[in-house]
Amino acid sequence: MVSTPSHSKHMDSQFLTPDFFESFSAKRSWEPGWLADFRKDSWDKFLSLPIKKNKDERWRFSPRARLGFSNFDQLAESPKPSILNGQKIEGILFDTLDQTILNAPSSLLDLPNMQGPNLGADDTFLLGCCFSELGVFLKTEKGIIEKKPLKHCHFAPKNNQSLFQTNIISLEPFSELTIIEIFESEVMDTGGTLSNLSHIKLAEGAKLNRILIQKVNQLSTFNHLESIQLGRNSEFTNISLQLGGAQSRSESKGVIAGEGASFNNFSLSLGNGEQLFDQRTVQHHISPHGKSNLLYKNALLDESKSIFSGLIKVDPIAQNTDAYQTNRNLLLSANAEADSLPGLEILANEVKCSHGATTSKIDNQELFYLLSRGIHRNVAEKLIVLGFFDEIIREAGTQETIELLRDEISHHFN
Amino acid sequence: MNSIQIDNLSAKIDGNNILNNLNFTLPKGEVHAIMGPNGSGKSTLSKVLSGHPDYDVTNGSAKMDDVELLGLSPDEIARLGLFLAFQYPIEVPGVSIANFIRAALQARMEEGQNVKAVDYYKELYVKMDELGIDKSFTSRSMNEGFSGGEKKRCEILQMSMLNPKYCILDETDSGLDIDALRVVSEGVNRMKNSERGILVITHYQRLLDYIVPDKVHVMWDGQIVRSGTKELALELEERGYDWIKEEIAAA
Repeated sequence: MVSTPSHSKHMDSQFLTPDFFESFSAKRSWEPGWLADFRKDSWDKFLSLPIKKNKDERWRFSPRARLGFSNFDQLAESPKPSILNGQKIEGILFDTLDQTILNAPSSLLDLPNMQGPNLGADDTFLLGCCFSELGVFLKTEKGIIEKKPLKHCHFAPKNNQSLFQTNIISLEPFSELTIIEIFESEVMDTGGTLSNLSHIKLAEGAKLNRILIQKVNQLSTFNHLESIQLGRNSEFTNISLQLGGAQSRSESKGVIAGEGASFNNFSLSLGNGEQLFDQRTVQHHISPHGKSNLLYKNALLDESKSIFSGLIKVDPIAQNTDAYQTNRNLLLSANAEADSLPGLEILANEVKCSHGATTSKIDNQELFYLLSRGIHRNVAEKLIVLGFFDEIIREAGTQETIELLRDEISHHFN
Repeated sequence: MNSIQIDNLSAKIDGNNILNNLNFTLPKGEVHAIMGPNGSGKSTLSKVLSGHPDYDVTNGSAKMDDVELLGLSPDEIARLGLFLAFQYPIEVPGVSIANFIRAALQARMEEGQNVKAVDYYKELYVKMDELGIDKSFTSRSMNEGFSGGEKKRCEILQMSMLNPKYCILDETDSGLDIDALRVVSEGVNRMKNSERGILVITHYQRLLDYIVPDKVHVMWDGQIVRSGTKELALELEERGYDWIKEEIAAA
């Protein structure tokens, strides 16, 4: 097959050739036809993507070359499978994506209609639709309330390979759940790209708490594209802890689709070395009486960098919306950098909305105070960062999850 | 020698000389007071000894038990056994008192050793009781939203938990009402022993009614210009500092 010039731009990697797609499809020939069609359709859309513009507001401040796929040689050949912890629970379907395709394909019929956050990384999204192999499917039945957290763990590939996966989480009316999602690396001495598409849907009155811990190694790239749909009176509280990756791009779109739904979106990033955290968010209110509260905190050491770009969008119908968006950055080094692009687009008149961004340097008097007690500098910085993160960590629900977050953050300083 | 021994110490900040060939000795087992008007360099002395990076030392030496402190980092100096109770304790948002003090103790332990949680809390609660600090404070962020008195009690709590060889109390009496002053002073007095030197920096004689010094020094223009017994403090209280200025001018 010969690629046309218009998409030669995609063809730097071996896995981005038409031949490769054919052989990938052949490998997945056991899948239902509609899924094969969906993959093919996504591939075609990927090929017809317009050439990347130099000036694209959705990538403002982002060193885009670091987040492309051209550096990655091939699709992971035998990636480490996702690990699911948790016993079989009556009323909860919780399985790998592949097992779900095999055992309950009808529960995935909606997949081709699931939209991405669409905040810039169109190529990642379409490649994810095309090449996703791993991932999980989680669905609760109506009214199921499970107190014990369900945990799943995913791995960035090794040897400069690339891996795509899709996680689908769907809560039926009035069910409640806590999930812990971990992203780490298959090996420590080589890295790869892990691109995760996440679709979360909460039906009426459903409640989801999610703790996400991203600690892929610092040779890896992490892409996380997440779409969240909140039904009437549902509640979603997310706490993301971003520790790993040479670079990461996270796009999160929460649609407050049902009346009275509530979305808390909290994120903590801790960077050292030359780590890059590129964060794009939207809180879209399309129903009245919804609430959304976003707080992204970035603590940056060494030469690490964060970009936060957020938008609150309130449609004319979404009266009595409460929506808040805050980005706070703490620079622990003169060479760290944080860019912030908060935004509002309010088309309803009865709303309470605010956005704000602050970036501050570490307080030298505060640092001296800790040092003057004999605390070593790296521990002092750790305490200051833990203190900076504390208002979010405290939202993590149980003492166990709070300690989990604190331990992961502390570990990053050792 | 078992002392803090300061010889010909000069230091400046932002180009201004604050300490000018200062000489001073604090022997182990004694309580000394340094008094002096605003701007005489009292607080600077405490900051320089603690290794504060904003001050430039231009001359002299400051030894603690024969170890040169000048040039060491603040955390090294603290681990060697010097404790500074701040005039204005700093807020550390999101770091609880319990975790803060525990980290400070942990920093003094050998590699692989850990603070024993049960013993630690037992000791902490006893000392909090002595200082009239409510147990609920352990989980509060260090100094955040504390009253002046609470901050000073918390300084003394840290001091007593960390068991330093030498203590410098910088204007610990400022912002304290009479009851708090008594409680804080009692806390300091409990720490007096033959193995520890204590330096009290203050404007006012009042504190020295509670923490009785073995020696009183007067600081003026970055030097110790007069030393005496506790009676010197009473004299200063009565006559102010002007007569000392005049005497210096005459000399």
